[in-house]
Amino acid sequence: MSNSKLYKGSLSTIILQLLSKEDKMYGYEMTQRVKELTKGELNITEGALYPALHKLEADNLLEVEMKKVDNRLRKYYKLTQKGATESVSKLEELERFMQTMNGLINPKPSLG
Amino acid sequence: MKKVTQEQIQFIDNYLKNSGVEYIDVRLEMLDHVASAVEIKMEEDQQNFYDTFKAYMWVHKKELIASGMQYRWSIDKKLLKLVFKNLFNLYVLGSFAMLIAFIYYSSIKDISWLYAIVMASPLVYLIIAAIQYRKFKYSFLQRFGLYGSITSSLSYQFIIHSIEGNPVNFYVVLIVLWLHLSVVFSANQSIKNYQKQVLIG
Repeated sequence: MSNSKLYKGSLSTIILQLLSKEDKMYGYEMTQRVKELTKGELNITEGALYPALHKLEADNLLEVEMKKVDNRLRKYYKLTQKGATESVSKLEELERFMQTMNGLINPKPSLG
Repeated sequence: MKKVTQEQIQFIDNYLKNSGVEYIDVRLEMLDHVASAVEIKMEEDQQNFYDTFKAYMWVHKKELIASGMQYRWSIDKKLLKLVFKNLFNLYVLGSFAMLIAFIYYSSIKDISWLYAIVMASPLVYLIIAAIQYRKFKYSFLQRFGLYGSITSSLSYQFIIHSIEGNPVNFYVVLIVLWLHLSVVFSANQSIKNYQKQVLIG
């Protein structure tokens, strides 16, 4: 992830969110989807993506499926049951974080 | 959409291999990543494969290769979980029980032969795997070999000097052997699962 360290802590949440909206995705597809959704603002690099994917797989949040596509093998990732539950709680966690940050950055004027 | 040919896939694979990404399971995912990126760029820029590949690697090679070669605790975590789960696998427990029965009913009272088995077993299964899968190098096999070597080495450091006459050592050696049986079983299971996934694919 080249453009901001701020996004780094949210990479697992981003991956889980992408997969909660699709049945299965492969690594390069994820980088392109993120680029497209953020209009090029966020660029996930290979060095950040694959270790994160392998960690989620080791934690049983993702499962892997191999498929032959265009004369090569492709590794698809999909959410496990545990991963689907985790994606909901991670999203809630992120939303709370964003609300807190918003409250800090844009404090409402106090009535008193 | 432009597609890379079988020869070009082989070219990318050789390139990654020669750049130090020697394990086939690591290379497989990387190869698809590079091929997918090159296909899109070939389409966008209307360039040939070699120019597009060169331009892509110029920007991404360092990170790509580093990502393929870096140590990952998450992989070890997954493999070690499998080893501990397989300690209670029926085949592992069965083999272990047979060994204990053999020791119990045999007249051999010197356990150094058992210790020799424990020490040699990681080497034996590494050699068998190396011969059986000589064309393919799997990153997880190397990790399993390492676990066997570490347990052998630790047991050697702690008990070799007092191996004779101390009954506690006998049980330590048995536990290490049980662990090794599970490592061998897990390595074999991982190879089979991986090949099954690849074949289904």
